[in-house]
Amino acid sequence: MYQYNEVDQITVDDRCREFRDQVERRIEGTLSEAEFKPLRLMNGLYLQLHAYMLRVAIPYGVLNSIQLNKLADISDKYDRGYGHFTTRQNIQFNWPTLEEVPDLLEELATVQMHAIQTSGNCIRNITSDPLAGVAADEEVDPRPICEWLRQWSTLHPEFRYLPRKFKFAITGSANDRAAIKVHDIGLRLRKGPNGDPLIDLWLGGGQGRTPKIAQLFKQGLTVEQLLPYLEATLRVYNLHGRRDNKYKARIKILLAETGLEALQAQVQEEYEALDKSPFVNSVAELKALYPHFAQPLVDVAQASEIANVIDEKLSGEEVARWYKQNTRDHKLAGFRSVMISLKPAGGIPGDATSAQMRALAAIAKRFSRDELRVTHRQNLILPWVAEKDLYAVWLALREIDLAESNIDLPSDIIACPGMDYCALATARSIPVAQDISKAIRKTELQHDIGKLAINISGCINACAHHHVADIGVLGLDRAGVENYQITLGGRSDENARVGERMGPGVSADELPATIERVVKFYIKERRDDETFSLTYDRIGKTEFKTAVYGVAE
Amino acid sequence: MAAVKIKDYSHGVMLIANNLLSGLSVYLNSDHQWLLLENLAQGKAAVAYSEQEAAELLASINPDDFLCPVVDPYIIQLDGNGKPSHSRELLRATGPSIRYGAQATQGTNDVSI
Ligand code: SF4
Repeated sequence: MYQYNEVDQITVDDRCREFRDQVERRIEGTLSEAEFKPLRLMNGLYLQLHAYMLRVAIPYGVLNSIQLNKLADISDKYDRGYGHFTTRQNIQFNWPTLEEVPDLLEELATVQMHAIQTSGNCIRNITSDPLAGVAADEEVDPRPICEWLRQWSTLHPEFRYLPRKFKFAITGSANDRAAIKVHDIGLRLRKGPNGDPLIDLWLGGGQGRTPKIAQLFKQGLTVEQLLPYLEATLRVYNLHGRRDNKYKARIKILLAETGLEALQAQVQEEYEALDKSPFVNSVAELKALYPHFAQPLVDVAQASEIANVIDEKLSGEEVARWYKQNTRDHKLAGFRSVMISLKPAGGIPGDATSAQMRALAAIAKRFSRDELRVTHRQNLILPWVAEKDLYAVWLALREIDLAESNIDLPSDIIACPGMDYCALATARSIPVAQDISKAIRKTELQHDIGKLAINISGCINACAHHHVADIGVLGLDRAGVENYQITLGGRSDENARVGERMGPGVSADELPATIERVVKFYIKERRDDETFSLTYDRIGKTEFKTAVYGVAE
Repeated sequence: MAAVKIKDYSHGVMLIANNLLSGLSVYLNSDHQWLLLENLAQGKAAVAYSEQEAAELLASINPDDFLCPVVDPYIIQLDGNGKPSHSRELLRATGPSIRYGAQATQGTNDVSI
């Protein structure tokens, strides 16, 4: 993985010093809250319902064991012994104090991490396929381009005060695991001539109160064209994106109001006029990043030979189920990626304790080339596990209650922090996720149900991607009482689409039974291995709506 | 932070804010101290019973003073039992409604798939 160079480290260290000074001035009373708030937000520090919350960036979801150990130490020293992995591949700490945040950030900087641009109207943490560089179906490893764009976007002077936040997601596979079509810009890397990728740019996706699926904006950009083209796009957005109404400020609204062709023309014009001289070295800089992401040299013959011997141990019922559900095909023969579910029975989606983090760091160091990934479904991945080690990894994960075999199954629920933490929330998400997961575990063998995404957001901001779930749940406030609206048939993959809203919302008490009815209806109606969205399309909204409200029963 | 419009002053209203240093939710008592709810002695909260009293209470803490020890103070409505009447404020007063950290999954291992 990428290691900071001197410039990266100086940038982060300088920022730590600057923020320490700002915090001191706030505490002394020489900065007002109005002056301080935008400064703390630029450093990822929010004020939530019960306490401050610090959001730490995990660039394109890649972590090593030193970093994860540090996150564990931080959660013990500055928080309450746990952290929360988010749908943007970040981690959030829920209880730091203002006085201690400068120390916390300094500790983070020692392991090449920070909280810069995890908030505010700037380019946020760039997310990617969590199986980048290891997926069997991958055409182009997106990590070098992710890192290149991380460097380009970090503290980019022109884009620090955009009309609104701006999110990138990048994939190099036809099977989109990064939800690129619900981001402001989604990049799909394809194999190009002479080894360099070609890039398709999808623009104007997003969720929130106006969900939109991105449109194909520019096809086949070369690496030479990419940075200037992005710069031109962001420049047009910076100039013409609406600043009068924050609900209309995202680029998806600019695209809708301007029209695809007109906006393409504006960007093209900007691109052609742009001074390209600052980019003369950029492709060389990209190429210099490739060695950081080189494939490891492994003795494939030996790895798979040993795998055949050990395989027998994987035949036990429990471990076999885990192997099927939680491991994925790998680019390298003799290896698999291991998905770690952060959705244990009764747990909080995305949360990990400091003890679990430390144990995972040790497992990653021993069995996964010292590397882990964070997924946008709030799970973790060990990307480099030799088949011969799978049984040992399973045992080690079971020790720390992280061997739950439910990846992509209905209990693998995405849930945002909701009103248990978030100041913007209109309802709770975590307890309802727990109740739904319990109901599903009790009534059906979820392994028979198969892949099904249930996503729960605590307000219309849609951090839990409820619009693009098979079953989406949105928590609302109806005269002081929590109420949950259901959407069905959404998708976040390469065929992304926004789900359809059913009728009026249901109460928290009714919600688990409601979801259960929908799931049972799907099981009854589906043909063979038909996915939820295909069944939904075939049967139609009216029938599914009946299942939601239980009228037919 | 969005304060909910006060509709009824009959059971009184009180002031809530985040402590600047710790970030924790705190409440104003009648001695003009900002305290965590658990430290607020019964009947010691500063309570106002009209819009004007509430405005005076808010002004009395000088919220715009750079040295004000709290951030985002606002008024919340109480119910007949002296508790916040809105679910959001009740949740804010009592802390997350879920067990978190090392306690999160305790007692739930009876559920199997
Ligand atoms: S969806 Fe709403 S409640 Fe949930 S984390 Fe985002 S802003 Fe907060």
